[in-house]
Amino acid sequence: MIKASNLKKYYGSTCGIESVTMNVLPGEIFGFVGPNGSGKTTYIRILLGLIKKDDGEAQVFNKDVHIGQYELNQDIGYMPSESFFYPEFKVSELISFFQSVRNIETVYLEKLIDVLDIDVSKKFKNLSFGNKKKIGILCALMHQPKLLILDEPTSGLDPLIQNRFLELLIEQKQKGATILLSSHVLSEIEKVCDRVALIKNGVILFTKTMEEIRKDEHKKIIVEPSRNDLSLEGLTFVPNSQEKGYYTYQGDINKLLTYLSSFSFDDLQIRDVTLEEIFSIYYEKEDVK
Amino acid sequence: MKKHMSYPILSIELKRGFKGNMIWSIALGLSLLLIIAIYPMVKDMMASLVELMESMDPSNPFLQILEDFGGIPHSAIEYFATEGALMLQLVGGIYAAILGYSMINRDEKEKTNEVLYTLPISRTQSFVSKVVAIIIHLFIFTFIQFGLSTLGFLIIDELVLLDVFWLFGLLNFIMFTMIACFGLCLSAILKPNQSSLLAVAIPFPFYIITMISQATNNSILKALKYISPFTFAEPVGFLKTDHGFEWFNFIIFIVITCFLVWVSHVKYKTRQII
Repeated sequence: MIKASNLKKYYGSTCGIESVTMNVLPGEIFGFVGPNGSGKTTYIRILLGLIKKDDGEAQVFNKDVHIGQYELNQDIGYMPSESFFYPEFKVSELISFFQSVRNIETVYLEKLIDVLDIDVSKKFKNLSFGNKKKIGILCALMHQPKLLILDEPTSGLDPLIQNRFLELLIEQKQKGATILLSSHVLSEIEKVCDRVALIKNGVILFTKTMEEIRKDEHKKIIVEPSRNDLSLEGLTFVPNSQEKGYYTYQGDINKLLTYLSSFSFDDLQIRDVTLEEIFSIYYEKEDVK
Repeated sequence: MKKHMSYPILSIELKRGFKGNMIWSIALGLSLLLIIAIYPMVKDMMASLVELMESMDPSNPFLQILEDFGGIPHSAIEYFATEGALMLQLVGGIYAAILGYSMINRDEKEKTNEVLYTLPISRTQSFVSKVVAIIIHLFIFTFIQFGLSTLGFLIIDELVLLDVFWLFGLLNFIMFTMIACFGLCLSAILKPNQSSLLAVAIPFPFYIITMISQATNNSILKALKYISPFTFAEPVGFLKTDHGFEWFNFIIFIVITCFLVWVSHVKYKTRQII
């Protein structure tokens, strides 16, 4: 559905993306994760023909992307990270505009308005940030496109609407849509995505299925008082400035327990590392292979 | 035309520009109406000026300068040509330049281009719709100016050849469209997010060029009139002294306008967002 290989984009001397190779398969929800300024939006904008790539290949629906690719847009629903629509228009007028441009089922449109709890009588400029995001979601989903490209869709939404939105995505996936979801909210990535890619400094660090990521999960060990001399295969000390000693562990839990039992601690905690912590480790590492 | 234009975009551009159009149109139109309405009161003053000039030495350079800028009006239409039309063309030119400039620039400033460019509408359709919106806005604007001016002539009960007057209106509409195309091209060439005040500067050099070419006998400076769209719609020449229509200047600017539209289209088609 989406194919990109060695995609590169520079803004003058500033790197947008350095090397992005990533395929999104038909019918999957693909999570796209990375810290701010890592190149997520640049990649998305290249796919949508909003900016030119400097190098590499990018295809959507097996067609090369290019500036002004209106013929591809018929089957794409896009939600930018910030929603900007004609500010002086009422939401109902904006909806009419999109209805005149796209092929929209009225029943589904009304359902979206209801599920997202949208007030169509207000002017767009008078809406709060969260309500503007809802209009963005509405416009991306209203024509039930084959491909949804969503850039930070849930930031600013209340938890109730976030959950409803994720349900809408799952529903669209079940209908056969492919979804590229760029997000900082790892809990939603975990909930809905089939695969996930991590981008940092314009380079894709990895692309994995959620199962593979869960296999990567390891334990976090916190010992009091702090000490950095514990040594066991799979056990890694995490430097920190606190009084507690932090370690990560990947391996047989019984071996760990046997090893730790030979030491004396005031306190010892062993717990699972969350997905957020896994990504944080990647975010913070200088070189990740 | 249908496949080259998007009616939803045209409709939205007309709605977006309607309020601004009405403010400019009514403000300027009422000013023109007022200028015409006071003609009966300044008529005597004009007659006194004519008497004063007749008493002056014919070789006085002041008389020549005055004549170069239209002289003393002898009728309501001549008064309009020397007083009202000056304001109409300058203010109208500013409005046209801002309108043309903002047709592309506004989407970039308000960041609505990101949504616009991801719709299943080609850049050409979008561009043609915007150009048509400019033409319709300027037609409404010019119609209101000449409608209210005609009303002014009716109020003061002055005989005016309406066909000549409205033909002058048509020339002004064409001239405004040309100036708007300069604004459109400027916004297509410049980087996004430039101030729309830049467009205000477009009509002034043209207007000054026309003024200079009118006021001089120097053949080189006189030839400058061909590089200003104000020349073929010059009010004193058209409504008062009945100079021949400046076909050469008109054709030059038709060609320039076509070129500007072509450049704007090419640039717009490859425009990226920032």
